[in-house]
Amino acid sequence: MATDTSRAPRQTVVADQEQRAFRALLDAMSRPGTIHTLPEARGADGAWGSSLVVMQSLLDHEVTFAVEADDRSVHEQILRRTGARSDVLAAAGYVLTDAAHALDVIEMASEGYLEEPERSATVVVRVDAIGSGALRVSLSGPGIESVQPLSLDGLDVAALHALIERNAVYPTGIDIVLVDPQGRIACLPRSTRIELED
Amino acid sequence: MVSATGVRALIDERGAEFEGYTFGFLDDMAKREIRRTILKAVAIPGHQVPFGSREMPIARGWGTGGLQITLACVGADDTIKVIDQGDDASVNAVNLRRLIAKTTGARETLTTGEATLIQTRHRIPEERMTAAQMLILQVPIPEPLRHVERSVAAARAMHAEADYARMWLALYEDVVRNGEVTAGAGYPVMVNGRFVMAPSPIPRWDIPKLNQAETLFLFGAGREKRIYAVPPFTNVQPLEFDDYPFEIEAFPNMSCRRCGATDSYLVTSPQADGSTLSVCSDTSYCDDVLAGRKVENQW
Repeated sequence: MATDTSRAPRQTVVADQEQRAFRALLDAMSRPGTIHTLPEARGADGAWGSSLVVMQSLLDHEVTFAVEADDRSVHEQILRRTGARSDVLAAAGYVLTDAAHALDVIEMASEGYLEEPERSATVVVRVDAIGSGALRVSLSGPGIESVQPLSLDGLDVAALHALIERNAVYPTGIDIVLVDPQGRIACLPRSTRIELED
Repeated sequence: MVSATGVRALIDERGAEFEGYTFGFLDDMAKREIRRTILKAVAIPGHQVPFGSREMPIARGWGTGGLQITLACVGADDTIKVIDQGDDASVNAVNLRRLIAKTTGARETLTTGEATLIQTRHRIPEERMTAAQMLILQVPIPEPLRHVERSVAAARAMHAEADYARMWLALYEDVVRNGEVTAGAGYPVMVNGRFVMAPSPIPRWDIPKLNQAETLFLFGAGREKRIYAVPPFTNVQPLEFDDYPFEIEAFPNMSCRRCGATDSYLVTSPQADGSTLSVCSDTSYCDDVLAGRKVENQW
């Protein structure tokens, strides 16, 4: 085709990372339980690097967030990188938690209202590993042809039970983004039915 | 006063300033807000999520909702296709495609199978789309209850309570008056057994394609400031009565005058001699059939 794209603007490095992270999130949210890979974390290595990629791709000063983790430095990093406003757990639009606090977060985070179910929390849970581990679940629902298996390492089974309970009354509920330190993500939107395997 | 040639010179000159635009025209904050909205829409299939529809360099009502979704999603390694009623060559489709390409550097295509992102007005391609593709539909009126309930707040309450009695009543009255549900383009559907959704003014022919598809469908209404979604493998059922089942358009004894296809959605125009001329609505499919390429068109 004839359109001249030689002068097309380039994406800045940060914007490029955000766009790729978003496409990974979109794939993951559209196909619950499937594993996708985030772009490489820049300037934030270590255990929280990939979690920060997710937060940075979605947050800015228009939204609120909360962090539930023993390591408080990650809260500071999100503030500095996104300009999002810190809020209490029950009101925050985006929550980042480590696996140890996942149960509390799932029980407390906002589930939205029947008229505005989108006004609910998106909860980013950092687990030890996605795609391997002792916790095995079977997923079904929109985005899944029949049944989608998923294995996780580091998440307590009680947190999943709490999630099943929280998301029992569709369309209100919370949407989960699982992240591991290797940059893998998988999503559990509220529309997904979760069954635990022995 | 600027003379006509002056305007042309000005456009040519300003063309060089495309470098001054942000990648994908929208600023990063706008993209982020649209992306957040899209993710919530995907998590709640069929539910309309409000978003802060931006001013675009085209008028509202000309595909700004779809365009904003496309620009929030597109990366430089995407291949884009834009269709208007199935046609890649309409003025609006060409302009949208050029805008996307010029502000992102993304590759353009007219071939359904080559595209990673397809923005469309009022058609779903005949060729079956894959999991690696995404269809972005432009939506004029996102609220399926609009013609039975004029108040946005009241319609929202009806969605909240899954109270679609008046919708069903309107369909019933249609059957009583006309002997059938007359809705042609934009036939109302039930998504995931929960939300009644306006599928945008696609013909009935395209409605079954939304059900249990491999592809993600995103819907953008710029003027009405709503985004909604149908994820892959989601139940999408047209509203129908047991004794008045939903039917797609039929083209008995008709074929495309250009490529001869009998299995595509045809558009018919009357001719001066009283006859009618029928051609494929989907120009990519028509080209493929004409060229003898094998296309998987069974959705």
